[in-house]
Amino acid sequence: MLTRRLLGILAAGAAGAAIMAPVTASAEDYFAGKTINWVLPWPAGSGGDLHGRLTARYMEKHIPGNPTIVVINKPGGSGIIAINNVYEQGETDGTTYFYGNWSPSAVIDAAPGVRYVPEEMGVVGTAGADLAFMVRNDQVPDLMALKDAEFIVGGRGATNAIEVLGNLALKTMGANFRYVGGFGGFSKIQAAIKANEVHAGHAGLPGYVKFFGPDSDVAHPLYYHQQFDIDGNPLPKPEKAYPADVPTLFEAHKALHGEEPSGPYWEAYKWWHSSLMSATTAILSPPGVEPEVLAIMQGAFQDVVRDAEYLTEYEDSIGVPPPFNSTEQSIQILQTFRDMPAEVEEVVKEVSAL
Amino acid sequence: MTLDAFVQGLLLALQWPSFGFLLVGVAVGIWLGAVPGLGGVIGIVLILPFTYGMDTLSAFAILLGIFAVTSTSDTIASVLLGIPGTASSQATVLDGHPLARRGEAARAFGAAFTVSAFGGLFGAVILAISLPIALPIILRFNNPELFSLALLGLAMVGSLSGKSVSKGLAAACFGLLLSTIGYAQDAAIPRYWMDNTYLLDKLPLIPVVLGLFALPELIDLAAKDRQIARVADTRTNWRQLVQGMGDVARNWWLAVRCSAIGVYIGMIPGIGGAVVDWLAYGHALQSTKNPETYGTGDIRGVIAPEAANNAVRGGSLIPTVAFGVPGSAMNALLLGALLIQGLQPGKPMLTTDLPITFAMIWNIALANIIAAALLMVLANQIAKLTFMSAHLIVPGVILFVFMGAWLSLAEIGDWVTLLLFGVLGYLMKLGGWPRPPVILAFILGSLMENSFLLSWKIHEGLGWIDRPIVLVILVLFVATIFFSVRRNRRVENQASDDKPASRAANVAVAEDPPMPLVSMIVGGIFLATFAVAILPLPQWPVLVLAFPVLAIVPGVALTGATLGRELLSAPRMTTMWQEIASDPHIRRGCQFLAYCLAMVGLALLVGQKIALVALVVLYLIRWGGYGWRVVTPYAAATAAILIGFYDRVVHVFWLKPVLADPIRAVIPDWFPAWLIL
Repeated sequence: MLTRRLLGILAAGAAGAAIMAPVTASAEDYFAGKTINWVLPWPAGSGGDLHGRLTARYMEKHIPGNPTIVVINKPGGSGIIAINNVYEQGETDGTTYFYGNWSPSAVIDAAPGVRYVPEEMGVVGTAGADLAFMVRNDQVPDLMALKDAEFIVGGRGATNAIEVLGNLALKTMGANFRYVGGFGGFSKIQAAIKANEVHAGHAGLPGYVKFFGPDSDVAHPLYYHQQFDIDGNPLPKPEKAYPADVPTLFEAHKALHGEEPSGPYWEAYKWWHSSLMSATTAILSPPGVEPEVLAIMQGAFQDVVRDAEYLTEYEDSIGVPPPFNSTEQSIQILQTFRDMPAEVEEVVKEVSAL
Repeated sequence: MTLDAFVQGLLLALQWPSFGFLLVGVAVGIWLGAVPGLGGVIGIVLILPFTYGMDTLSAFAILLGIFAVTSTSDTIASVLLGIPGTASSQATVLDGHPLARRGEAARAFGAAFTVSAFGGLFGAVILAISLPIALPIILRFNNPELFSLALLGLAMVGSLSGKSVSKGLAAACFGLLLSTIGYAQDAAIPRYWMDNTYLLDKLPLIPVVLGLFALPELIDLAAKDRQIARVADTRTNWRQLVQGMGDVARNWWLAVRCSAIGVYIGMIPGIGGAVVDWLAYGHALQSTKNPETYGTGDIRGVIAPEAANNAVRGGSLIPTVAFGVPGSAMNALLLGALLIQGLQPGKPMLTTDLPITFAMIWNIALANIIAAALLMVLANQIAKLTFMSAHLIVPGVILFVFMGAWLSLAEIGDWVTLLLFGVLGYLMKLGGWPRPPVILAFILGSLMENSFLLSWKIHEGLGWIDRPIVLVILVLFVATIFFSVRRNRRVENQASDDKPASRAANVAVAEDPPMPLVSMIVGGIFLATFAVAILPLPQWPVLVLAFPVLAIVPGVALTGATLGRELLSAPRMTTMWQEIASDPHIRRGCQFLAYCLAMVGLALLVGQKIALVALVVLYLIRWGGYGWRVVTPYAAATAAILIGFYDRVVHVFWLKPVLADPIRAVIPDWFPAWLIL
């Protein structure tokens, strides 16, 4: 464990140096004529596959030397196979990257099959996820109705990171709900909401837009999960995301209970959101990639996420783009995600057992 | 309104250049469906990026061309080789392959392609009529209904795909148990994963299907050194093609009914493609007065599933466009294309954008007609393959089988799974155990477990059992098993009293009679697997162990009953053993498997490209006895497919061989390493 931490610190140092390293003229040509393997943990055709391929296409455009990026689907093992593969067998010359969800909670729990050590891997960039709580109009017509409502929440599974966050929020709000986990993803949850099998669910922004949107006569977002920066400060509402009158969890709590949220659920919620949920998607290299090479990739990724054409295509084909993190922020999240306070751990255990 | 949109949709589909793109899609789809292990998903993934800049109609024309016709051309492998090209052509194997053995492959093709076109076209019409009731139907199929429908599908395949209902249902239980490998539906607990990340998610489908179906047929062809057809090539294929078309005309009412089944089952997300051919086959069998010829090359056994599995594609579009709920990977890709084109799934697709929805449905219907016409032209030549020496067919197919399996996870586990299930499939074939129930149960297992557990949790028990649709399906479930048992008894009695002429005529081309000892070995393997699967149960929470128990308990009872019955009626052990030991085909089959194993070993050392070409070359020389005039072009074509298609187009993630670095060190700098590694 000590060795792993030490390696993590060394890797962080190397990665930090990478940000500062100037990209020389020779480094700019480094990728010319090269082929990069872009390993995705999802099967071809899935939602993740779509944005993985889209990002790869724009990375080709922004990496100096315009290398060819070959997308490789390596599904299985809940994403673990792909990331293990890159960690253990990826080329260290900067031509192999993992793009996908890296499941920090599985790493912390030393879940079966996890062999990769995120702290040792090179970080190219990360993105978080915008989330909201969707509930049937007839069950909880407005925020005030939450006080007396009883409802069933359909979810992916109580240990899933999105569900932990969503259920911590519901506990913070003091909602009276029964949780039914086991739906594979939001497409199934929304079908169950529409069929009135369950009454509510935790939705990612693309899911909300795709299946409901602002004019749905079935369900509406009761509140959304505001993003926090790395120090826990709330960030402004993403553009084009939810209707103007949808409050943040913080605002919803104040409106419902007349006071700001507080207590162990709220503290756990804040930690979980800012430490684990802010970098659910990551682009990682195997350990041992030269900092200069990583710096080229980091620069290219930041260019991609600022490319208006990329953002438009993302929005058209997948949905509102997720919040992308700066390189520095990404590296810090990957280095500190294990530092879960004991009191947070206790509360997370409780909601994971729902 | 609906009729207007229906006509507008047709006009949109016929517009140029979208119609041209439809033709391109059809050509690609025919190729992908015909090669076992490929399928439409790969084609759509490869084509999707090219559609970003196209207009909506052209983009969908090319994508739907691929989407629609893979279930037409997959009939080729089902009929010729007995290998279901995709999950939805499994039932076609039951009667299609015996027809090919009888030298009537062209007749099977004639019927299959005609009814595929009919199914696609008629499916579109039924869909147009049904659209107003589509949403209420879909909304009524919640988790309890999905579970019941999957259960009915299992009962159909378990009861109908063999001569023994207990063997069929035991095989289904075995398939259900296989589906529980990997993370449980209800908790982050992996089951039966043996500390191997390959097994953390469920076993991948393609290596299991190719192992159970493709390898045993290839072993058979290689070991018996004969052509697929068991009769001399004396028939005129054109006449057979016309005969097949006439068969469809004579059974038009069956085709209509099965197309309707296809459309309505297709509308139910997540379940359509896998069960629809079985439901149609079961319906055909149960609605006929003379079911005894089914399974021996009855053309109605080809017409029913082929009508349904093409009609299902149109039906499956409805939940995708109306709810944004894709029922399959291909539908998920189409949903992605829909969003890229700026269309939002939802009610507008059934109201304001209805002409576009109908243009999509028309694209499917037209693609089916075009594919059927094209394949009809080619069918004559394709059918001639059945009279060709097996030694020329086996190496080509084995290449696609191994690469098809490898495309699943690109892990060595894919080939291990393929070989393990290849051995099991071969034993099941020799022992007379039906293989389709294993596959269908394996496919439906996760859906059944998921919908069962969700129903249980939402309704806090079995409160869902009295829902009207559930009750109707459960009655059908019981009736299916009851009538199947009765039918099998009647057939057995008939066989012992007086064999009908049609049955006697089929004896010459039917499967070899089952070997009792091999049958008992398969039963033993099932029992041992069920027993080992019990061991970790005490460590798991109730909802995690519930489904494995639901597979194990009836599995043990049914397998035990089957074994007991066979033990009582079996000849002496020495007689049974001698039957196996003296069979030269089994010895040669084992040799063939050893070749495949050696190839996998060689691939680990020097890479897959060298190893697969070596297997093809060695097979042609040692088994086929061919000279370099045949071997050289065959090997060159093999290498060209591996490099040109799998490496350059599909971008396969190849195995990193042990000797990769020494090989790189010896090849000159100017030589591209990707040509051999």
